[in-house]
Amino acid sequence: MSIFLAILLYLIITVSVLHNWIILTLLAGLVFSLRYQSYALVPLAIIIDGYYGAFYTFPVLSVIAIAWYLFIEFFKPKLTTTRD
Amino acid sequence: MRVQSRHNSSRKSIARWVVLSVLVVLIGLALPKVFSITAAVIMYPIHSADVWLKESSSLFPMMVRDRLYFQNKIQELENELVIAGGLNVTQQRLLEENLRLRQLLGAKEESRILAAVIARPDELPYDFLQIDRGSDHGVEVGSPVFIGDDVVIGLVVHTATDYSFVELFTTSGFETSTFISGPNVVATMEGYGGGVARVRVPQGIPITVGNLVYLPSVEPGVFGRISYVENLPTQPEQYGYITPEISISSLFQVSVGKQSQIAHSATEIDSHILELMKSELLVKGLTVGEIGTSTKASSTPESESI
Repeated sequence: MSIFLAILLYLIITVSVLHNWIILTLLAGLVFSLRYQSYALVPLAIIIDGYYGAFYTFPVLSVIAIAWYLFIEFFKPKLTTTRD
Repeated sequence: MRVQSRHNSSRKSIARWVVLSVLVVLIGLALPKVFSITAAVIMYPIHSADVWLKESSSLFPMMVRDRLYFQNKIQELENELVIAGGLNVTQQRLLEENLRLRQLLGAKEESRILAAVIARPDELPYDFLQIDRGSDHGVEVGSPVFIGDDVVIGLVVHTATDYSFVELFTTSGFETSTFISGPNVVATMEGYGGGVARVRVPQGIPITVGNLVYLPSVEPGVFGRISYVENLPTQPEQYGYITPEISISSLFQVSVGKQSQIAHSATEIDSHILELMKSELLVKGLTVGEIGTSTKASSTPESESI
């Protein structure tokens, strides 16, 4: 069930980024990052940047994904501690 | 001690991932073409699904597209409805203000005669109407005919005792002066036939679809909106085609105004005054001889007395 949900969220993030549905991307990304490992989003961002040819200029999405990973990894332990 | 070591290993793991990701991004910047091709290959199934969803004529994608389209349409219409509600309030306010100001200025409310349309262009020549009110009911030749409050469509051209004929402004060859709001110009409107009239204005005057066309000689007189503009750069003039707000075949009832609602042109007034002067100054039943005799007879004793 957990894996199924992870795949579903991953696909939702992919499709919502492709369709520029920002709110859905943010929500799905947040849920995915909190429930699973957020570093999985970095390869996705790199692939989407490659798909849109962003490496010819500047891969914004990849940089955002790395920053997001750092941000989540910084806050995640604090959230877990608070919940405990 | 164990907690700290777990923290350290976690930080190392994060740092490893970040370094690796940055490295991949840098490689991507160095080899953008390789990354683009690889990404295109990986994304191919998603891309295909996306294209299928956007362009396929299968049931499911069409249903999704229709749903999205109708959702947007509903949103648009709801917005338009809100705006129209606001405009309606504004319109009502302006109407009341206009009536109040007219009353203050002493304007009289013209009475109108309600008439039903008993024959239209299916049975009559095009651009003619027959109404069920005639001279017995007070309909006069030349009276304006209205639909609604202020939309004037034509003039009464013939009255019998209990019916009349109305010639519409769209009758071929009918000419009248109009005022086009928007560019604010006066132009001649000519009937084009078939329920269509047109105004001709020189090139460069920005007439657009939706401009209101007024008939200044009739009070109150809006004829309609420009529904099509024919503008060829090779022609010296451009044409705006106007159709009445309601099609002739849908006309059921009209109201007939009074002749006094039609303003007359300056030339018409001048000739009328000239005719009046001629008729007032002409003394009938007198000859030159009679005038001469009476003058002589009456002047002699007066001159003598002086």
